[in-house]
Amino acid sequence: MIEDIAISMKDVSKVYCLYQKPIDRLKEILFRKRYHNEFVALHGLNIRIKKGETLGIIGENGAGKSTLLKIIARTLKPTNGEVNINGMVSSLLELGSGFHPEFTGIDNIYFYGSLLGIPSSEMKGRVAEVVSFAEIGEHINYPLKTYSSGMHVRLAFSVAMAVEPDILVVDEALSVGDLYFQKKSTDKILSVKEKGKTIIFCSHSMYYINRLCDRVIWLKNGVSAMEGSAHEVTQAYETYQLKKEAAKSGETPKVGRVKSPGAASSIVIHDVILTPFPNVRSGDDLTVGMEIMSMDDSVPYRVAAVLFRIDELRIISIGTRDHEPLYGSRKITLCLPSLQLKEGTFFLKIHVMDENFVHIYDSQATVPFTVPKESIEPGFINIPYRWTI
Amino acid sequence: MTNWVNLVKYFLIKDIKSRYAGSGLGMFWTIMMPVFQILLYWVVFSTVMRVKPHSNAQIPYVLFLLSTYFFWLAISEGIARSGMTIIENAELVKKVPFPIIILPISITLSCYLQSMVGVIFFILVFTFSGLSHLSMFMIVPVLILQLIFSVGAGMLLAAIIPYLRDLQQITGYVLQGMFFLSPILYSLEAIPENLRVLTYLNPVTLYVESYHKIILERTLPGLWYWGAMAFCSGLFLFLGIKVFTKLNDGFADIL
Repeated sequence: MIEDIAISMKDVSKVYCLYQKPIDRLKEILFRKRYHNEFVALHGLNIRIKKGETLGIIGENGAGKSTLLKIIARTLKPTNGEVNINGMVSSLLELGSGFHPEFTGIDNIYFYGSLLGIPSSEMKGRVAEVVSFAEIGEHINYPLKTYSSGMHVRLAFSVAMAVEPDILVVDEALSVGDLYFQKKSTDKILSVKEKGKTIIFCSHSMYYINRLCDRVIWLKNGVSAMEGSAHEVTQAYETYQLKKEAAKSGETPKVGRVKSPGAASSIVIHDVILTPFPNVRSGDDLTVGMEIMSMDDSVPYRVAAVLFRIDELRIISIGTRDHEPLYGSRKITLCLPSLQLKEGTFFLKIHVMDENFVHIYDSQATVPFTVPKESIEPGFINIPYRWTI
Repeated sequence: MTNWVNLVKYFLIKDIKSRYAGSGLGMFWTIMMPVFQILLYWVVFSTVMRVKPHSNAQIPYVLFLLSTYFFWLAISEGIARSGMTIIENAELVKKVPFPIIILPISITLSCYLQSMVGVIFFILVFTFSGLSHLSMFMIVPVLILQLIFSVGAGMLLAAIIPYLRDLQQITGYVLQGMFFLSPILYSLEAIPENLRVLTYLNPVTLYVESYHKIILERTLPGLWYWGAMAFCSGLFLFLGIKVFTKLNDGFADIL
């Protein structure tokens, strides 16, 4: 095996046998006749992941993402093919599933460590770190059943990270717990990436995928539909999704306040004002005034604006990348001088994010504005051009 | 290896803790239930049916029952609970990669530990009756062989039952049959000749008879017994490990 390969999968397939009734399984053994339907979740997958690489896995529901992650996490055996995993794997797939309610927090830390094969002598040195990261304090000596669900998930996350895996498997839930801990957990995962560990990351959020992954695999019906750099693959995937949606119905996408799930935000976008409105003419100066409310002046944040056409085609993203992070409540303005949009209906989505542009504190979409058609040439954007004839 | 020991320890504590979670008297119930059962048998056999189920006149019938009942309990509980352990721990089996074979091993050990409380209870009663003797310590090797048998049988069932859940129902009947086809309630001589063959086919008979010989008759079981017990224990352990490791990989698929 080559040293710098973390995971190599050769021709890996996973077939689930589906039985209609449990008795069919018995009949099959007794009569040696086929009583099941096969469902192919993965089909002849070849993947090589280098050490230190962050691989993204995208795909629709039922494409085989979870199966693939479970195979990497070693909880599921492939039906065919060869899987070589080089190093210890910890997964954030099902946080806290090894925990026992009657054990105290401390006991559960050791127990989880033993499950993954880490001797208690080695775990001992990490317990303090887990307890302080999870911020459970005194409660660590009480049985797990007395914990709130937030404490439970914080402990589970901290333990999964504390085993210091060589390979980390993350499914969707990049961040857990309340807003404060969400930020902390995303930072922790980023630090794992910076330490040169391998991360397998599966998400429906193309933003996270683009932000974190070096390489992306698009799974479609159990086979790799596309593999390549993050932006290439996500773009192709988004185009595919849009086409599919357009084929289904011509309904307009919903616009409005989009909150990141479960976020009881301490930083919120209070108001977004668009001028001129509702009709913007090509060449106008478009100003977006926004009022941001922060409950905690010590939390740094940055702002990003994304201009969309009404069908959610992303035209441009603009972040306050060149500015220092912002603190506290304030009003800021984004000016798009001499707007070079031609015809169509557009809207902007404003995001308040952490200083790394990873975690989204709050999002708000503006009301859509329309640029009337003034030129007979079709298209929605003006870019400088010159003919040489 | 130390990690295996650690894991077994954790699962043992886990099992015992969850068993007595919320019960005030805890271990008390581990003894009370079987003692009640024994009293029932005693009343039924010696008072209602007026039979003499065992041939040893010097030993009261209650002590005859007590001498092997807790060992039997270890076997039957160990097998029954091992059989369910994969299904009961489905979450863990599906989601955390760890040596799953530890589950039936630790659950069997847990059942044995709890039954040993009963055995100690019996030894106390036996001693107070002035009947105990030093050579009783020879039950230890028998117990070890019996434990190996239990672990093997437990693994075997733990591996198969997730695939054939009906087997779990059948296990109850088989255990019941094994109980009545072994000299726990009555001595071997009390069983009619033509049925006695069946009794000898029952591995439990081997262990139970050995306990009777050591505890009640103060003799050692013959070489034949030791050989048969060793063979039986080895066979089940071998089968258990073999079948379990073979079916191990499929658990996550079928649960």
